[in-house]
Amino acid sequence: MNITFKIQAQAPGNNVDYIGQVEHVFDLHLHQDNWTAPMRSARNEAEFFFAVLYWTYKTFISSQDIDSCVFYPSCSTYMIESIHKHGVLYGFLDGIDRLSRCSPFANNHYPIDFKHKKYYDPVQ
Amino acid sequence: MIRFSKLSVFFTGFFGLWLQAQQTSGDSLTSKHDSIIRNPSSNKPAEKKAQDIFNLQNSKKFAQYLFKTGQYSYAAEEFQRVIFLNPQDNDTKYQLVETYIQLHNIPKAESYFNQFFPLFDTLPVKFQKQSVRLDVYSENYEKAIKKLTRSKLDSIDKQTWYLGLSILEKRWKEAGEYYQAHVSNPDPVYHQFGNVVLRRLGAKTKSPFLAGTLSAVVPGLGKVYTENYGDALMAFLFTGINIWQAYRGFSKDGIKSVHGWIFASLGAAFYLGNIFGSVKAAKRHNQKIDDDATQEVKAVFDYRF
Amino acid sequence: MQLRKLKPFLITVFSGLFFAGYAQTVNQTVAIADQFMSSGQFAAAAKYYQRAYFFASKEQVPTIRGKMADAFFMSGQYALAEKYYREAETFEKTDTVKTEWFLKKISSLILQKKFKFALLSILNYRGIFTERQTKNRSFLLGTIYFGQEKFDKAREWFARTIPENDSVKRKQLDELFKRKNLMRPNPELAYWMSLFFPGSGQIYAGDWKNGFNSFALNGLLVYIFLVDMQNYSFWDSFIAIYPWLQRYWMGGYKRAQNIARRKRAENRARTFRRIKQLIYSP
Repeated sequence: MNITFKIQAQAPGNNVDYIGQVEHVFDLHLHQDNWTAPMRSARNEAEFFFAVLYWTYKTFISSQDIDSCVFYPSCSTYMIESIHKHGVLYGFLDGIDRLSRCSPFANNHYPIDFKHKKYYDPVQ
Repeated sequence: MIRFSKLSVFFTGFFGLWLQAQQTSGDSLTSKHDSIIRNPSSNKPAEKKAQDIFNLQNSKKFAQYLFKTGQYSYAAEEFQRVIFLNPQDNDTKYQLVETYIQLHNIPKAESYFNQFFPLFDTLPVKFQKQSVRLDVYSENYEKAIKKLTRSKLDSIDKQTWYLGLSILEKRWKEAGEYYQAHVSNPDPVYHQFGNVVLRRLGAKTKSPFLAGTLSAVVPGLGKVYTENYGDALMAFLFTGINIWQAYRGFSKDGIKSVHGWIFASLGAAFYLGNIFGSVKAAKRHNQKIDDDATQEVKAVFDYRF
Repeated sequence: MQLRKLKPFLITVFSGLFFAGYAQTVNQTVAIADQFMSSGQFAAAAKYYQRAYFFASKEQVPTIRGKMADAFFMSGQYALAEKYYREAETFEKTDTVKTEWFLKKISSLILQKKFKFALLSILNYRGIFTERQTKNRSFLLGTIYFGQEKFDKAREWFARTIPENDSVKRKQLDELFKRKNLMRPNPELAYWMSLFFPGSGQIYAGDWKNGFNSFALNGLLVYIFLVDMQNYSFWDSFIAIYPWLQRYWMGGYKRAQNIARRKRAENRARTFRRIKQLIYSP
C-alpha cells in the first residue's frame, strides 16, 4: 500500500505569528485601585474630610488587613459612597449601620455577588 | 449470544458504510455543519451568484443572523444600515428597537421608537405593545396605563396588562378589587397576576417607626422585630461593649478620661446607627415583599409580552 | 402592450446596472478585510470576514474561514479563533497545512490557559510536520508544561528546539532554568518570615512599601497594647487591642505570601519571554 502526503510549506491566508502571541501568555495584568476618586468628587469640606480619611484608611490600614468584610462593596467604600449620595450625616449613620451588619451572621437577606464571592449590598 | 453478535456485525456494517459516505463527500459534513451558522442559500457555485452582499436583502439576512446569535451591538449597526437603505421597513425598525432592549439601552430604544413611530394611535397592535413595554422598562407606569387605555389590544389582553401595570405601580388594594371584578378572564397569566396580588395583600409588613423606637429603648431590639437576629446580636454587642468601656474609663479617671471619651463617642455612633439601621431594615423588609411581587410581573413582561 | 410585458425585465436589467457601481461581492469584502488585517486593525477585519463568511459559496468558505480565524486570533478573541481553527483543521486536505491550523489551535488553547486540554490534543495529534513545525510543536509543548509548573519536562522540550551542536544556546537555556528565575521569591518563606517578624516577608519579596507599612502598623498596636497594660490591666488591654493586633498580624503574613506569589509569577513570565527570544533568535 502506498501512502502519500500532501506537503505545502505555507498555510493559505494571512501569515500569523502565533508563537509571537504565545510569548506573552504568562504576563500579568494587574489593575491598580484608585482611592483618590472621592477626594476629587467631594462637594464640601466635610465630605472632603471623610474622603481623606477613606484614602488614609485604604492606603495604610486596609491594605494590611485580612479580607474580612462580608459585603461587596466593602464597608468603607459603602460609607464614602453613601456620604456622597445622601449627605454627611445620613451617610455616616448608614455606614455605621452597615459596619454593625458586617458579620458572619449576615445571611439570608442579601443576594450573592459571584464575581467577588461576597454578599451584594450597594448604596440604595 | 450468536444472534446478538450477528446483529451487531450487521449494524456495524451499516455504520461503516455511513462513515465511508461521510468521508468520500467531506463537503457534505461542511454544509451540514455550516447551515447552522451560514446563509443556507449561498451554497451555490460562485459564478452563478456574483451577489452584492451589502445590498438591502442581504444586509437584512445578515442582521437577523447576528440578532439570533446574540451579537446585538453588531446587529444594531446592520439594522440601522437596512433602515437607511429602506426607510419604509417597519419590521426592521421594530427589530432595531428590540436589539437595543436586549442591549439594556432603554433610553436609546425609546428615542428610536419615538423617532420611527410618533403617532401611537395609528400603530398596529404589535407596535403598540412594544411601546407599552418600553414604558415598563423605563418604569413610566402611569404613561404605560394611559397608552394601554388608548391602544387597540383586545379586552382580555387589556385586562391582563392593566392588572400587571397596577401591580408594578404598587396599587395593591385597587389591583385586588380589579382582579375580583374580572375573574372570568380566561388568560392564565391574568390569574398568575391575581395570585401575586392576593399574596401581597395577605403579607405582613413591618412598621419603621416601631422598629426605630424599639432600638432606641434596647439597642438591637428593633432588628429582632424586623427578623434580622444576627444583626440584632451584633448591634447589641457593639453598642454594649463600647458603652461599658466608656463607663470604665470615666469611673477610673473622671470626666477628663481620653479612653472614656473615645469609647463614648463610638458607643453613641453605634447607638444612633442602630436606630437608623432598624428603620431602614423595616423599610427594606417591606420593600422586599413588594419586590417579590413586582419581580414576577416584570419577568412576564420580559419573556411573554 | 409589448413594452408593458417587458417592463419588469427592463427594470431588473437597469437596476442591476445602476447598482453595479456600488455592488460589493464576497471577494471584494475579503479584500477590504485583508487590508485591515495588514494594517493591524484586527477587530475590524474580523467583522468583515464574518460577513463574507456568512455569504460565501462552498468554494470560498475554506479560505475565508482560515482568515477569519486568524483575525479572531490576532484581535484576542481566542475562544472563537480556537473554534474556527478546529474547523479549518478538520476540513483541510493538505497535511502540512492541516498541521499549521492545528498548531494555531493549540496556541489559542494555550492563550486561554486551557493547558490540560492543549496537552491532550497535542499528544494525540498524528500528522506530518515540517522542520519548522516540529520546532514550534516542541516549543508549544514546553510552554504547556511551563504553564503547568512542570519545569523539568518544559526544559526537556525547550531543549529539543535547539540544535544539538549549538552548545552556547543550550548553556544559556540551562542558565534561564535556574531556581532564582523560576522559584524565587518563595511564598512559603515570605509567609513564615512575616509570621515571626511583621513586614520582613514583604521586604524579602521586594515590596518595601508594604513591608514598612505592616511593620509600623503592628508595631503601633503592640505599643498601644503595652501602654494600655500599664495603665489598666493585662486583660483590659488584651480584650481591647488583641483582636486588632491579631487581625493585622494575620493580614500581614497572608499578604506577604500573595505578594511573593505575584513576584514569582512576574519572574516566571519574564523568564519565559527570554526563553522564547533565545529559541527564536537567529
